[in-house]
Amino acid sequence: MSAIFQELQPRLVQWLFRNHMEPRGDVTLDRRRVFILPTRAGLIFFLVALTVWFGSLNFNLQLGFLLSFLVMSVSLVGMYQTHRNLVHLAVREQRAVPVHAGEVAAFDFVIDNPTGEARYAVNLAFILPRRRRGVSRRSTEQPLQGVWVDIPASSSERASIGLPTRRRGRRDCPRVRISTRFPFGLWEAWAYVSPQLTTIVYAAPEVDAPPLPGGSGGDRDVSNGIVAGNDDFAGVRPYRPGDPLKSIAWRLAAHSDELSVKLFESSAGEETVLDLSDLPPGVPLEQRLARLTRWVLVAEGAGLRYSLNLPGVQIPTATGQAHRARCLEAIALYPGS
Amino acid sequence: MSESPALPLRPARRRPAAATRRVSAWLQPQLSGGAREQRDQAVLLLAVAMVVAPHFEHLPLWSTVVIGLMWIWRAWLAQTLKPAPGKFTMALLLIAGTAAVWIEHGTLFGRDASVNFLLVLIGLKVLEMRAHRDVLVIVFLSLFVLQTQFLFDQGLLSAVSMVISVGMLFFVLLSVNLPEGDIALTGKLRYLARVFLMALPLTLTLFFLFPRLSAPLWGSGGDGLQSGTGLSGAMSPGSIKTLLRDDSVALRAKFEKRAPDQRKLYWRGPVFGFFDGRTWSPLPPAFPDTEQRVDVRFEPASAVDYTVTLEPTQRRELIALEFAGRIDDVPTTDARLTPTLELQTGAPIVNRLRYRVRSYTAFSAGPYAADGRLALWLQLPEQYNPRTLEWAAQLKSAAEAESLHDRGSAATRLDRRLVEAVLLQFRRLPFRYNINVAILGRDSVDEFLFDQRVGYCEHFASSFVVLMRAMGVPARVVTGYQGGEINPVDGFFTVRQSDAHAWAEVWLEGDGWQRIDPTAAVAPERIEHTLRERRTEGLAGLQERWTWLGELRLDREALENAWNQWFLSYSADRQRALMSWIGLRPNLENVSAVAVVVFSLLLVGLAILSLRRRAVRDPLAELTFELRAKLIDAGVDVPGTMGLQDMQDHLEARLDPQCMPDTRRLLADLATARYARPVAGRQNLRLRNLRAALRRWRPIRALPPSRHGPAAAPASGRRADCQ
Repeated sequence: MSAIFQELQPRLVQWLFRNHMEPRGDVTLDRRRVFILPTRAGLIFFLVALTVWFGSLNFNLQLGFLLSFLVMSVSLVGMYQTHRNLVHLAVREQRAVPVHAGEVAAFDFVIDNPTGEARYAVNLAFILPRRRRGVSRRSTEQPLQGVWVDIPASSSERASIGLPTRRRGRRDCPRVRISTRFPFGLWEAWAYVSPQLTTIVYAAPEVDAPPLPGGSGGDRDVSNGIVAGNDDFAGVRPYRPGDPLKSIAWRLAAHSDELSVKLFESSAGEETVLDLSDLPPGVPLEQRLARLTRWVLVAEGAGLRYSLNLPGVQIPTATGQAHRARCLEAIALYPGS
Repeated sequence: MSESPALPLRPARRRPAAATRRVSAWLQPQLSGGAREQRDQAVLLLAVAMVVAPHFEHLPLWSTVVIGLMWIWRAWLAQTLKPAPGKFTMALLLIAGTAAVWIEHGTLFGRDASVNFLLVLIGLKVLEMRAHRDVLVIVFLSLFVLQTQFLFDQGLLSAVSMVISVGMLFFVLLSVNLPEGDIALTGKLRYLARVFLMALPLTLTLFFLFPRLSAPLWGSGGDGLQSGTGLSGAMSPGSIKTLLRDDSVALRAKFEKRAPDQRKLYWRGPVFGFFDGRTWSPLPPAFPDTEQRVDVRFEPASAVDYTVTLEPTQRRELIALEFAGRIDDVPTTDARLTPTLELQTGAPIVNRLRYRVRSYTAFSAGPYAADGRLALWLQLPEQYNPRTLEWAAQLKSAAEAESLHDRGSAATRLDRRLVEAVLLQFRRLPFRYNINVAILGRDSVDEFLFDQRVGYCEHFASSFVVLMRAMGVPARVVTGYQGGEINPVDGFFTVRQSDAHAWAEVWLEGDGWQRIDPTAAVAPERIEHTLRERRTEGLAGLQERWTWLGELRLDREALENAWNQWFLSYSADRQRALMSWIGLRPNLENVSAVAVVVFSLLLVGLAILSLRRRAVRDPLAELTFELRAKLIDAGVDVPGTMGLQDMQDHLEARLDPQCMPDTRRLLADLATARYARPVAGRQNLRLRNLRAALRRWRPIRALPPSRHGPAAAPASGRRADCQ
């Protein structure tokens, strides 16, 4: 019997979810996409109501009948309410910001509630492969992971779900389970969303990396980003959060409402070449990539012009956020050994 | 920092008083975990108190105190955010509680013990409540506790308190299922009210249509549930006295026509023929199987039809007016008339029972000719009441002598003369009717007749029967109720335990058994007046003089009776009666079918109601639409795709400069309402203001360029009505 079931299960699941899992990307949770089943608490609740009913039958307690029927009816209405709390919501993908391996990648969604009723306690959580979920089974008892959002009537709310990353590379957004147990926790309505969001997980920058190669060889404070040597003063730019305090042009600040940062260009026009093949081959590939990642961050932070050479990938000399992103992405996607 | 007046960073605002903070914690949505938890726990504690409190009435004192203490302990822990007691303490408390219940009741089963145990359990669970799961357990336990209360009381008040408790339990569930956001109290209440309103038709359908079974599933069901008040199987000294002080309802009757005269309302109960000197009890059935038929003569004109709703008595007698000629609609088992004209069912009456009766108030019961079995009704205990026996002999010889002398009344038989003689003595001698008398000694009849001469129906009936038997006239004691009170609100006749009465029947040759009420001979007002009239003479009557209080009582009782009639006595039979009322055959299949159909229809209705997607029009979109409409009315064309920002530039060129400031403000407000972060509770106000502003707003088209000449006629017309 169980063998037959095991054989049938994947097909059953496929059949059940056939129409509902297909669309990817933005999705409106219409009726056909929303599933509902009693929770464990709901089943126990039903058993309790049944017991009360049974006792009333035996002792002919009219009020006992009334009690059991009342709680059953209320929980039944709860089923409609739970379903109603989820249906007609629309999940829009927004963005995924790249992170370094080891950090938590946030996938942002916007949930639109086009209806005239507020939605409460809507949970969004990733469905992770089974081995990651590990313990499971008793998960119904524990509060759900993920994020909770309340969405007022005719309004939208942002939900950002975090996904811990471990390895560099491209990371597709896992399937999202959007669910609710509001109002009484006796039923759970849920739907699946298969987002098309993808993020790049950059390699984790190497800790204690050696200084940038080439250049004037001056004494550089690589960790600060902004080079503070005895190089030429190259101008100011507006303060950005994260800039070191000692690089702020305080004199300028006294005359102005805005903070500015002094820029020193150690070797204007000079370019730094970051080349994988220049690194000692004895160092493992991942560590070399990590070092390159660090160097890209340092070089960009120092306002240097730099280029990146990986076997098969050449990124010409440039500077700026877009350039940095290109370089980091190239490193992240570099085929592993 | 905050002391420094130079820094206006923190305005010197008084911190709100603790009470204000607490009230707002209850009313306003709470985002801080601690405040929410405190509040939700307080609601849970309140709900548990509401569920448990009615039980205190029948719990032993220690258990009330213990449960109360655990409750207070928990409330204190919740308010101080202290952790619940540890596992060891809880185990200790559990063992102690179980032991205490065991010692108190000798068992953990049975009604009182199990209810007590359940309450101790819920007290402990409340005390150790930690997580979400514990809240669920408490809610489930509360449902059981709610039900056990109905073993004791199913009145209207219990129903109301049950509905409120269930509401509170669901409130708790609602609160704990909001893990992060929160809803204001009024919002939660409104939500719950809506859910309960939707659940109401489902509940009523289930209640009235869910197939009922007529017999309990196991055991005798209600056995020993209600402590039996009411007439008992024997009349021992003082047994009626306790009833006379009990105001609870024994039965209610609805007469189809006018109720008979108060003096004819003798509700017959157990009949006693065996006297041991102290206690009257039924005659042992000497001839169990032979000749159960009774020859009853009655006057057809005295027929009365009525329906009785009998409170459970735990006994087998059905109470009805004498003499019950026909009885219908007895749901449980066959009712039969015993040789002593008692109505008996096969099983004890454990539930409220309704049946229809036709009684003949003018009747007599056979045998009419002398019968050997009549000797049974002459039994008297030996060596008891010597003075009474002696007096009986005197009276008898006097009567015999009189009948010898008085030839004229020879037709009057001796037995009738004897009855008359005794009743005459009762009237002549200084007997008084009073409930408050001490219980008499060994020769109780002697003491009553010769020493005390104060008593009530029990004494009068008992001594009358003893006297008659001593004179050789078969006689017996009949107990039951006499009278009753009509409730003018609903026309129901209420007979209370305090209407309990005892009277006598004597057998007269040729006439059969005849009712003689010796109490009526002494205290006719006992029979002729209703209970309330009698009461006004006593202390208890004090409140009855306040007529409105009395009326209030009648109203309340009418309400309670309606509750009993329509709700509590709803049964399998009433359910089937409902079927035949609809026009279906009254069987279980039809009940089930109707239940399924109605319930499904309701579910579908609910589904439509809740799945229907309300076409929500965005109020802002609507306002923008109105704005466009006004502009078009004014003759200014605005492309439908134009955003608010572009619209302003667009209008700068096309509207009269004098209405531009208004227009700019309006567009800015619209943009704010659309894009600014909504402030809770402010959005509606903002929309209202916008709507008003839009109504006031009068766009005027700018004068067309001069090449069109002076203002075009239609434009000026518009301008006139726009201004």
